[in-house]
Amino acid sequence: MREHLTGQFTPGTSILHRLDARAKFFGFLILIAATVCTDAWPGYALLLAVTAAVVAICGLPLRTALASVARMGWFFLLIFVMNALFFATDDAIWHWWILTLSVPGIVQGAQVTARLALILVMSNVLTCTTPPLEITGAIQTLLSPLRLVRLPVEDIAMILSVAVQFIPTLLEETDTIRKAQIARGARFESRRLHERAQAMLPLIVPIFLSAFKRADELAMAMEARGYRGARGRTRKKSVPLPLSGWGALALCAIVCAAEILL
Amino acid sequence: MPITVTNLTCVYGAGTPFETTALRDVSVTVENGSFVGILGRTGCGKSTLIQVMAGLLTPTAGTVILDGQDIHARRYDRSILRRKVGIVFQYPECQLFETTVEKDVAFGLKHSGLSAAEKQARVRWALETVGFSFEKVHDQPPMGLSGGEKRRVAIAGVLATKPEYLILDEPIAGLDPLGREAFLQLITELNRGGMTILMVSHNADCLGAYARRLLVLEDGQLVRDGTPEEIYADLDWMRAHRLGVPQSRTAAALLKQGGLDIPQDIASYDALLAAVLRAKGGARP
Repeated sequence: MREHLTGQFTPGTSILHRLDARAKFFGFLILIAATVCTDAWPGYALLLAVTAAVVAICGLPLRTALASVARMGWFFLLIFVMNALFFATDDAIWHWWILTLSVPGIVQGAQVTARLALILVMSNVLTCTTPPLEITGAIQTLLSPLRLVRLPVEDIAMILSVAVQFIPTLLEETDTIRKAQIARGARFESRRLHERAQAMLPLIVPIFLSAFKRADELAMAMEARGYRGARGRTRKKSVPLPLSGWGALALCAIVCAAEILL
Repeated sequence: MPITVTNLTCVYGAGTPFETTALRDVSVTVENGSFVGILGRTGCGKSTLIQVMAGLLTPTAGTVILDGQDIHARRYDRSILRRKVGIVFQYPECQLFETTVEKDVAFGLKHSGLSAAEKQARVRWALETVGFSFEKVHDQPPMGLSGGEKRRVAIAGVLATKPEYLILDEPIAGLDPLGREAFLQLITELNRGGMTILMVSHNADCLGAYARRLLVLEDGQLVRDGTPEEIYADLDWMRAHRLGVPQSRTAAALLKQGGLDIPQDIASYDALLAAVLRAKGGARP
């Protein structure tokens, strides 16, 4: 499958591309916290400015950076309408059956939608500028305190990175098998739901078989190269967080603090 | 009726940083009953071309006309296309999914409107064509067969609809030399029976020995169209375009260097043997 997927890593040389993945990931979490804390208009303005700045410096085409929001358009509309119509209040503009339209409801809907859209854009920029393996590395770093409660952090990170690496392979294989079955006359576009579910069998069975086969082969290859559980493995690249990373985190923290104060 | 491809261009990921052009302005007509080989290095657009011809990919520009109808037109009934054009992908054994060989081979006949007896006759024919005994294998689970057998079952599954055009993408990859020979023999038989064959490969040896016409693709463009003999005769051109030179052709060049007067338009071992015998005075071994 050579089509570009929303949120797929796009190589580049922008500041965001070069920023340490751990700083990027943690900064992203801080910005989510900031977004959730916001509930005043100046706060939204600041967040919008921050997001716009992030999009501007990420070096991605605007279409790529905003693709995730565009794809979820209907979802956002639904969220907005639900919030606007089911907001319990006394000063309704319009009331019918269980539906209530009110100014606070509309404001609430707009706020929820804005929050989700901002988070979605930021997460899209994160995955577009960070190779998947660096993200799993960052997750491992962030989870490492949980070693104290005996969580097998290294194993989780290994499982994640293996899973992430298999996604393109499995997508490509799915595409080929889908085409092969269509060429044999399979109809995946049937209108009726039960027919559709049945039509998926010629796709699902081969993909599961091949995924299991690949997993077996990979497990064997890993053991043949001396893998004995992830515990105690050292990393190829193990560097302390560079100054730019700390800087980025500080910026995110300032934004978050500002949001709480506003 | 032939398949006519006109000014085909195919761009992947248009408008994204991943934009690549897989085909550039390719035009070709495949005559009925022909055996056409498509030769080219990895990434030259071979697979894209056949997938567009089989109606599995929509081209960015250009048309594919099958029996006078544009197969990418919105109004076109694709089920006609699926019946007429069969495609065997690389490692077709991956597409098996049913509980028995018979059911799997019959999968393509589901919407054919044939009666149960007709369907079974088709399945029997397809399995016997690829060298199975219907009685022996029809109720076996396909997953329990060996790799080579699975591949033959998968091909039977494509043949069951009796396509007029059979498209094969690297069909001999991963087969042992005997399996390869038997498979190509089978394809030749089907071609003699009137089936149009379109075979993609980067193996110049097997295309030279079996295909009657060769299309050479490079960077998404059709750079040569001719018989294997014509194309392989031009050794310098083959090397300049970094195509693998068949062993029989290399042998012919070496024999000529060594002083034997033999023609250089050699595309198969049979042709090489005949040429050597002629040069040696027609003595049969």
